[in-house]
Amino acid sequence: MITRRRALGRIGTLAVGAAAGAAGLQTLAIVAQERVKLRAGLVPVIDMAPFHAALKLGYYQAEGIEIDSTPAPGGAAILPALAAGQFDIAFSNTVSILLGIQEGLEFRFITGTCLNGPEPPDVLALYARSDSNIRSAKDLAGKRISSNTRNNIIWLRIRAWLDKHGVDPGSANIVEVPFPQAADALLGGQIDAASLYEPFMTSAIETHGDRLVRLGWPFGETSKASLISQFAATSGFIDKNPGVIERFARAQAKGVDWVNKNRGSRELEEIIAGYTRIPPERQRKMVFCSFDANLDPAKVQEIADLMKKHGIGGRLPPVEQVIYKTARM
Amino acid sequence: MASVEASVSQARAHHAWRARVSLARILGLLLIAVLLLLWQLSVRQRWIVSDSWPAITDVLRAAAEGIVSGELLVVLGSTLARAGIGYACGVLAGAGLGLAFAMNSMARRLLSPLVEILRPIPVPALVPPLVLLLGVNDPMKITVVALTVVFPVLTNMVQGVLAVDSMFIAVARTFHVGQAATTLKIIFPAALPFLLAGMRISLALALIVAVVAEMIAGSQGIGHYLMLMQYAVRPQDMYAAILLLALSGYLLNKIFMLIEKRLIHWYSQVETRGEVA
Repeated sequence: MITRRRALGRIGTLAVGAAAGAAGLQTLAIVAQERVKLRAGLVPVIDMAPFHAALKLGYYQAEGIEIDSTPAPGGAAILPALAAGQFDIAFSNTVSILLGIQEGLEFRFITGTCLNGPEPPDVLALYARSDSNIRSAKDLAGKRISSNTRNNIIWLRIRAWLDKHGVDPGSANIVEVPFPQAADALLGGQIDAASLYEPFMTSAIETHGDRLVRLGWPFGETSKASLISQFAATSGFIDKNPGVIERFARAQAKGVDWVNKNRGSRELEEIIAGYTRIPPERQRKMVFCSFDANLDPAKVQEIADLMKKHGIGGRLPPVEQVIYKTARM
Repeated sequence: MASVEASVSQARAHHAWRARVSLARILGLLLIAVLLLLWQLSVRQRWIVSDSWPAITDVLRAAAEGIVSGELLVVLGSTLARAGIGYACGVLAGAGLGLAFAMNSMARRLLSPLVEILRPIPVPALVPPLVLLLGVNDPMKITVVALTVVFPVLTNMVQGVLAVDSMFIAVARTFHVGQAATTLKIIFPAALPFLLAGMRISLALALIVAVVAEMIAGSQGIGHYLMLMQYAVRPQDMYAAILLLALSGYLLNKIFMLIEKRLIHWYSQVETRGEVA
């Protein structure tokens, strides 16, 4: 009896909001794990649907995890803030995470999340003006192509796509234009081709579909079902909190399963509308990525190789070492 | 007789001036109306076709919906609170430092190189290092606002204190008024018009910088709301937030001017009397 009371007391002190009554302590004792707060740096994009499903359906709560989330639409500050310890986990694209590791930041992939679908339409396409004479990769030598950021997954896939079609990627001028302005920049003549990611692709086609012509799918044409974005944590945090990372990954995997089973459902539409603010009517027209909590090391290697080929490679440990075991469950 | 004629002509001139002022005001409002009409036409006549250029009627509708649902007011309120706290901190620090700078040459020599180096740094450039030190939430944003506010207040305060008529201080000394009392009762009130000018410049800056900081990092306030709506391709909601922001900036300035008038109503009188003499 004494030991039980002591155990309850201990859990009580660890619990967030230790003021919980006797009944609350009882539940915690049954769960038999301390509740933790996980600070997450997020981007409010469709890629994050499984995370938000897991949040809404209480999967994190069931694992004793309270999420303290900070969604930043720009996303630029997320990985630096992860490195600085402002976040415990962060959501970002594969290339940016690998670049961080190459820079000596001890990032580790902790769960897979979003991949390009196995067949077109992709989540990203390259568009030109229909009144221009640009119709294929070959016409883009020496031209200006937009990417939302330099040295990220989209920049890399555009280069790989040019390369695949026999165009020297160095001969094209890849310029930074944020997604919300890309269609305007294209139609205004500031760029010759625009890369549009969802929901901007759908929106641009709705607004001026007749003035746009699709040049190709940089993701699908360069690699089948390639990686887009994942969750990462620092190895320092993982070493100190291996159990927490495992519980997070387990809940996230359940979120992925739920999203995959409930595609197109009203409930999923509402979850996505809740955090992206994209109305359900528009979501129905949009292309979604595939979701998988498992991370295939071969696919990470493919991206690492591409990065090397396109001049942003560096000292990278073997990919098996940068993928924490929770991403390979 | 002559004085009556003079006063009649003076009254006439005043009347004509009043008429000109109200005409200018009406024309100013008309200009806004014309610009808004052009905006509406540019969308309806398809002069500009873009999914980031909504009709002004859609923007107004979005603003009304956002206000009715309370969401816009909540995000605006949180931004105003953050800007307000940062502003208060910045004004206190700027006024205090300004006083110290102006009254103590040692303090001025010690700190002015640092101030001069920090002053021209664009504050958005300070956000990433501040994220490192203070995170992405309130402490970072309030600090950013305070850093922006402090410099205009400081420089104006220094100017204000240096401009205090030395006669006042000499008189105070003659009557053996202590240092603290001289500062509080003579120097501070005399420098107040300058301090208030600095505060008014900073007021607009505080709001702008709070929004910029919210746009760069974190998920709070109207800056984040703008980004979220932009990334959800809901430009009408984005512009609704901008409209509300513009209105609150305008109102804040109006309120500030009213307070300023009450606090230093003597100032304009002193000025005109000075001119006459």
